[in-house]
Amino acid sequence: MITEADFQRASRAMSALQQAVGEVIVGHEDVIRATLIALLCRGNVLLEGVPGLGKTLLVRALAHATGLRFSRIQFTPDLMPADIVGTDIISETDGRRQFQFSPGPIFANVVLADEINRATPKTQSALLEAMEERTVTVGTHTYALEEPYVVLATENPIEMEGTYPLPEAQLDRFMLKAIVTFPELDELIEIVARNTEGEGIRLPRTEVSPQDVLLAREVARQVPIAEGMRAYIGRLVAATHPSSLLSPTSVRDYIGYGASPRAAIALTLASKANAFLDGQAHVRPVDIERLFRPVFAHRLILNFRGESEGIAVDSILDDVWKKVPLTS
Amino acid sequence: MTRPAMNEVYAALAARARTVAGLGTCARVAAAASAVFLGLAVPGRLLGWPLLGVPGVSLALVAASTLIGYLVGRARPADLPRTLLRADVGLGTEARLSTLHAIQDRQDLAPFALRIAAGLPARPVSASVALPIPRRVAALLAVAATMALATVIAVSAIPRPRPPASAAPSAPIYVPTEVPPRAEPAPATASDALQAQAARDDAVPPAASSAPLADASSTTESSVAASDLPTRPQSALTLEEALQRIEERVAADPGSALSDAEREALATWVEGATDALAEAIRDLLAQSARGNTLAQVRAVLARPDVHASPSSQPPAAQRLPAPDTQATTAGPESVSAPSAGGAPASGSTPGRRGGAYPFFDEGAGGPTEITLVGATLPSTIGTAGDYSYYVTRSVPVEPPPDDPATPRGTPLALSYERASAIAAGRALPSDVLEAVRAYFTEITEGGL
Repeated sequence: MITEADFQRASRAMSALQQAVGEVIVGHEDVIRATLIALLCRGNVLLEGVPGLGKTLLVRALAHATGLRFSRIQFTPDLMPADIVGTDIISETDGRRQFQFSPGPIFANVVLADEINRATPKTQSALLEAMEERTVTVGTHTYALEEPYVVLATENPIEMEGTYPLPEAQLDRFMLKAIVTFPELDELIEIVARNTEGEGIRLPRTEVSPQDVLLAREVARQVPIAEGMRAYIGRLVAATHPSSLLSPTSVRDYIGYGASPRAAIALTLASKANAFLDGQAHVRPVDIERLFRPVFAHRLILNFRGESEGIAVDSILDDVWKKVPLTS
Repeated sequence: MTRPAMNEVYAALAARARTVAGLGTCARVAAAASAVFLGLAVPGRLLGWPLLGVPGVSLALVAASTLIGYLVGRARPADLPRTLLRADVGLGTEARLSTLHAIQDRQDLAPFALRIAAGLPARPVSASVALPIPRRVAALLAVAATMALATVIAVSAIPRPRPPASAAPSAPIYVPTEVPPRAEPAPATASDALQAQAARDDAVPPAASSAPLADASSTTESSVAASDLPTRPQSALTLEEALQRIEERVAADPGSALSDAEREALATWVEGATDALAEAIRDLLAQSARGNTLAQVRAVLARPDVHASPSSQPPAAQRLPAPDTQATTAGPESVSAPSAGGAPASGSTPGRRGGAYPFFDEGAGGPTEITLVGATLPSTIGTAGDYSYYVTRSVPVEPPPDDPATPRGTPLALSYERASAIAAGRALPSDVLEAVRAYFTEITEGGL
């Protein structure tokens, strides 16, 4: 049972974490928020943005601030699954030779899968079990990953040559998709200043422990949500399906497949975490509004007509949002 | 906010939600009912349908449907989670009420509940503010009301079709009670009178011509109930009879003055009486207030001209022509009534404004204005009985022979044969004879 003291302790920890990461990363509040939400919800985040925008720094700062183990995997076409999950190697102990599992970089708390779409689908799929089940199976042996665990994958939206778009099944396992945009001019100047003067960027260190993160997870999960709000989320998900009576015309015209029930779960959990990060004790409509697009954006699959006409999923999500009222 | 207080809030919001739901249903029903019933009212009015042609009936049906819709809508239980979320939106409480309701039984979430409740406004929750009437419901109600009003106005502007004469046998017969002379010169002949009447009828629009009838019915029916004198004496009683009735009443109540009805009735005889008789009646009207009413009445009653003079008839009757003078004295509204000599007197066709037959106009002093008095008549009187109600200026029958041997109050025989003989003797046109016959058939319901 969550006590008021637990709530306050977890809330303080997350506030400190947000502040520490914000001191390193200039701007990108939404991306930082999405990362923290994924951390609180046992989720994973797909970061989309061109190189050089500070994605890696963000992940490293988050891990450093919480004392969590961080690992970075640069995905390339020749990357093999064993390179990620690890492999059994022969080791000799007291004259006895035996296979010993050597864990790969996936065994960390915060994993950055950089340019995940450059690896082959076989390698990409090596992440599936870790992302969803929080376990890794090598041979006949299954290893549990240490909590808190979060995978943050990046995609380069420009270079499509030699890439392997993530399959829908894997996309659905990312709780949120955050767009890392180019910084504003004043933010850009601040970034240059921080990286070129003094000692440069110093990763933050806080008093937040992994246990604090786990407590915050528990508190965030307990944040109550009204039945009407749950129904609202359900209607939003239903409205993304072309066959639904709730769907707007654009969904019927351009969407092949709508959001899955996993999307409804993700939006509910993310809304709870967002409310908690705001210091609130319940899910508000504004929480759903803030997380609706990050949760749904990568889950809607355009049909042929949508693809051929270059329809932006964001515009369809706008239609869905307008079509479905909070109270019916 | 404590849990009991929250429960009160939930109950108030649920009640308000039912009211709003009732209004929503009622608005839809009202719009539909307005469209249906009031839409039927226009053709109903044009076609003379018995119920739907009446705007009041259609309005009542719409109102009843609306009320039923409201009650049905309000009877449905409120969906509380949805209601509370709507209340949150209305109050701007960011889903606090609905969340608190969702976790009110979860003790493990008490810290959350306390934090949520702390965020609620301190002021009492207003159910009407939390759940206002939706604009579309208000708009729908306004549309329904506007539609109803517009239809009522439109339907009221459409004149009702007149039912055929045979279709309304039991309609009240309006008896003319006052026939003041008009400045308009009287037609010299029956045909002139008919033409003058036709010209007046043409000049009066249908709605306007029917309005006085309705007005007369509404005003004079009450006067019939108030007193028998102003109606029946003028149509059936002579001045002598009226004075005798007054005498009887005042004798029974010595010291009483003339009633307003009696004054009004007596005043009508002044106009057509001889100068001496008129003077006597005026004296009676003036002095009766001083307490010597009985003596004055008896004094007037003792005058020979009350019995013998033509002034013993009411003014309207007095103006009716004698058999030998009717061709020049009857007004166009006059309807022949039998006189002692077998000649028609005067009167008006029941329910009509003015006479329509040439012989009704014979000998009138000029066009007259008629005030109509409604009376409920016996449904059937057969071949004999008290048909004195019918012996008005409207009825072309002969009064009883002026035989002193005939005791007063003897029932009068109603015989179409007799009236027919009189009418035939006057060489009336066939359509007039037919009208007379139809009238007799109607008032006797088939009797002779």
